[in-house]
Amino acid sequence: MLSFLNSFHAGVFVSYPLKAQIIPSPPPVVLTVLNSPLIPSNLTKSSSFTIYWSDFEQVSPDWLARGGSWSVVNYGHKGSGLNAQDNNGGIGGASQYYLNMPLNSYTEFYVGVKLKYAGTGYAGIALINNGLNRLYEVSINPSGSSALLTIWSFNVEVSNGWRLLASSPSSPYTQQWVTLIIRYRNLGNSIHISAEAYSESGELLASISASSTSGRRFPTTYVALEIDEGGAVFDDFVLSTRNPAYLTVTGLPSFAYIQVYDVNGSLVGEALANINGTASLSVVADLVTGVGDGGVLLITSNNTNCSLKTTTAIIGGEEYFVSSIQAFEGFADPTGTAATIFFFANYTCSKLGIIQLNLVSTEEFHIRLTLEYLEASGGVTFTIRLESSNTSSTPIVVMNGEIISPYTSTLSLREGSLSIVVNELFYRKAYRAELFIEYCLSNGSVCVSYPLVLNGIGGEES
Amino acid sequence: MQAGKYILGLTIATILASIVFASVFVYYPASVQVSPTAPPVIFIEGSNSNQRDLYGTIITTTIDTTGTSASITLHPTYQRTYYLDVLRIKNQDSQAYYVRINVISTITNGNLASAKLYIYNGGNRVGEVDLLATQLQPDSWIVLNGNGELRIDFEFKYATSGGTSGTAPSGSGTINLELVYSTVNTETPP
Repeated sequence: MLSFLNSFHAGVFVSYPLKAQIIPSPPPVVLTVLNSPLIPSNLTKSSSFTIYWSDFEQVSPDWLARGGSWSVVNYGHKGSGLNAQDNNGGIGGASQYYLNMPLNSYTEFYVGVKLKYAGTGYAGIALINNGLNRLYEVSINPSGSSALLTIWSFNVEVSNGWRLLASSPSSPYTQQWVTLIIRYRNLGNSIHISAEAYSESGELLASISASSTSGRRFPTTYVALEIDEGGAVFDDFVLSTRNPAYLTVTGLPSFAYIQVYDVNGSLVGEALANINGTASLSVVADLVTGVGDGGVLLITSNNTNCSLKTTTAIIGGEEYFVSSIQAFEGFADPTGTAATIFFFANYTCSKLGIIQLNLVSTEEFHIRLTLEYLEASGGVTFTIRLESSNTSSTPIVVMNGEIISPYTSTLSLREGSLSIVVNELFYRKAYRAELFIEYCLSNGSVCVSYPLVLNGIGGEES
Repeated sequence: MQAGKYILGLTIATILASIVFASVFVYYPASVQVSPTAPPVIFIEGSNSNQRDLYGTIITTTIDTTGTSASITLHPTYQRTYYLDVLRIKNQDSQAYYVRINVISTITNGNLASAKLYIYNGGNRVGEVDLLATQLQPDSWIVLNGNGELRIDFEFKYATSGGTSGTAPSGSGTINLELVYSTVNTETPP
């Protein structure tokens, strides 16, 4: 029976010879791992020049009033500020709000404050003696659309009376925020005070200086805010042994360009670093960056922008150190046909070249990247693309661990090289991404794929 | 007289023995008519036959004039190299045939980690052949429709151990195959 079925279904079998001769080639495209740049990773305060600072976000017991009405209001320069109303009840018939912190041990210091004055009298800073009955006053004195910067003494040059020690030429005034910086020096045989006033945009409005050689001169015990007629709002108070108009940042790349922003993205100051990587920024626009809640440093070096966010209070007069780490370390196979990259930290710079693809034959190839596999602990966000000297591909996009776009567009490699560039890398703990670098001859006859593995270790929460 | 009796006995014994061992051969008339036909299934070039390969080489595809044998030369490199549409199998008959590939001998030395032959019908992969396994593949027959075509792609994976960027991977040689086709899909070829 089986024999019968076999016969019934029997067919014809024909075989043709087919031969595949394999002659391997060297790789026509060879990858190299680029050297990792150092990227800013942390900002630390490296000095202790500030004696005291306040952004007047809340009422503080550190301050005491001598006359006047003083209260924290929500219309400061940024956030809250200190509102002042004169009642002629303080020293010299003015009103003072003094920092209850004796300064007798200091023979030299700076005071900076922002103030907005609505009045035709005087508003500024007072330096008061231990007995709280003599003072030096540095104040602005508006009159219509102009103002004077003045230095007065009370009960020093004139017993129980005021004496004008110095007055600046008249400068434009529009009832906007003014930054007042004073320098106090006790030179032994005289008290020397110098002062500068800056507009809201940081323009120097006036500068003056005066010396007091009266036998009634005194070493400053208290620093105060003062108002004499009308009302004013004060903010960004800094008492320091260094000029609070300037901020020093070290640890930068040589000749890097640095900008400091508050957390809301408002520019505070900017400067170019010297060859040693030190920059001095004018911060008269905001002596206490933001409301003392840190800010963002934008560092530009070699056409790459890096941002560094910090919650460290950024105070004028201080020095800050930017520490850096190596962004990644990569290992290429000796054949130049595979690579593994380890990232050590989140990358907040504009772009980071990790791989260079070099053409070593004469063909033209069309190249793209493909993301095949992704696993992440705690989420990962990045974009990665191909870049030539004059164009770049569309990126692979990963957001919060989700693959939004798994391919780049295709770029042509006709001669020279292409780079693989990472942007905006952020991950919480660790991740592993497996990609392929795929290149094809322009007619699509042959395609070659190289594996590229990206590992992130030491993320935000590690 | 005694001698005459002996000769008679020997003669009778010989005759009897001849009768016992005799065979019968019978012949009926029959005929097999052999009528050669044109090959219904042939190899033809793919769209990338004799096109550019890596490093200025050529994907050489040689098909004999009858379309019944083919030879391909490829030049893969490290990692994964994929060759698209380098050979096709064409059915010149209106009847369907069934196709498989027999791997007769393969490359066993060097860094060749994987070698595959893929068979596509249009955009659909209908067969996969492991070129490092010497056996008839795949397990079931692939339909070659009447007047249809099948596309053949190749994929090679070379390991990188011991290699450099300026040298070709080790593991060259020839893989000998057979295209086997049948009018039926129910049997394994002898």
